[in-house]
Amino acid sequence: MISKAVESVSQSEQTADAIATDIATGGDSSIQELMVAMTEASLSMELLVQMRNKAVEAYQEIMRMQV
Amino acid sequence: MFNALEIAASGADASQTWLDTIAHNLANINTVRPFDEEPFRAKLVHAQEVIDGPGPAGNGVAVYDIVESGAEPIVVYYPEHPFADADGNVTLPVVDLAAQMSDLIVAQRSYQMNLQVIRNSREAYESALRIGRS
Repeated sequence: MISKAVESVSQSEQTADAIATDIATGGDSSIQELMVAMTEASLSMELLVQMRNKAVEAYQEIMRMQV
Repeated sequence: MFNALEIAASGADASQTWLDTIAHNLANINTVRPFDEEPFRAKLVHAQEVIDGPGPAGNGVAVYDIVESGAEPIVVYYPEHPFADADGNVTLPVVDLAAQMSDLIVAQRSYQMNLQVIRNSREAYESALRIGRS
């Protein structure tokens, strides 16, 4: 699940990167397109971080269990 | 995954096209053509709803076509003009300045409105990501 999320984050960052390059090289992408792509990338990243936090939390909870 | 962002971005894109079109119309407000040619006509953006996509209600808006104004051109008597016909009449470009200026305000507000939707939906998604945090 985490690896799928990493893939999706990587993809949205690549999309934002491609639009940024297109704008910087005089392509016909618009600034709102770029800003939306970057917002999506940062939200996906934040989602991934939260998923990781929850997974680590659960793992630590289990490690602390007395047997 | 972030439908509201994509949909609002499509609206901002359409408003951007509208702004560009108004800029083109206003830039050509003095473009007089020779009497044997069609006069310049104001361009209008034909927007259409996008239904296909992940959004439950629809998926925003797209520019379907750019059409020309069908209004009657104004003809003035101006015999010294190089583009006047044999009777001394000149056909002016078909651009209504007052209509274009008020459309400009609407287009600008519509662009800002879509950006506001983007801002609010980003805040909503950010709040969702804070669920369960102390």
